[in-house]
Amino acid sequence: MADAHLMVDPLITIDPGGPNELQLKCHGRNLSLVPEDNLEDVETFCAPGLEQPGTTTWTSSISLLQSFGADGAWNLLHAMRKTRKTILIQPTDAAGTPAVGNPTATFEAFLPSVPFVDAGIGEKTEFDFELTAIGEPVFATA
Amino acid sequence: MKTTPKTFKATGTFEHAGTTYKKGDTVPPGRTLDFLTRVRPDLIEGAKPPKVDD
Repeated sequence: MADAHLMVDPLITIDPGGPNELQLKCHGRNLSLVPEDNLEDVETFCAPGLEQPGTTTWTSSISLLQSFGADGAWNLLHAMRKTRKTILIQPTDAAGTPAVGNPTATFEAFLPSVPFVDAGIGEKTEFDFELTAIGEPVFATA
Repeated sequence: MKTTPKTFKATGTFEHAGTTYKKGDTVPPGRTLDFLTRVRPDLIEGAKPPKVDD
């Protein structure tokens, strides 16, 4: 049995290979890409209460610390708000080269607008960067 | 004159929308091919990379 994966050095790239390529790893500290199977009601007289999986919606959330500057999270993400981009995620950063033990997930999503500031005295601004995949991601293993 | 439709083959192993493709498998026209051509052209032999905006 494979060892549990402990996330230490993930790859989180927006627009990989594109003009707006952005690595989010050093801005973030929590990462998710999770599916939700939408259940369709298919009950009949012979199968009361029956539901079966229909479409699947994939959402990604990245907890980001706000920063400002030429490579600040706000400057970079605000400039790309409401645009459709490709997102590449890999459990362990191998520059996007897939492997059975380190697959890649690639999907498209519209980038949300991001908060500017949201903090008290002496506190950081932390926010969840929420992405909803358009269609389903492609998972590459080799 | 008949033309033979171009076939696109997978260059790696990947799964999309419930279907798994291995290297050399033909990826039929449709949403998977459209999606891969746009976002992961490296996984499709002969696919054009996405146009880079100026």
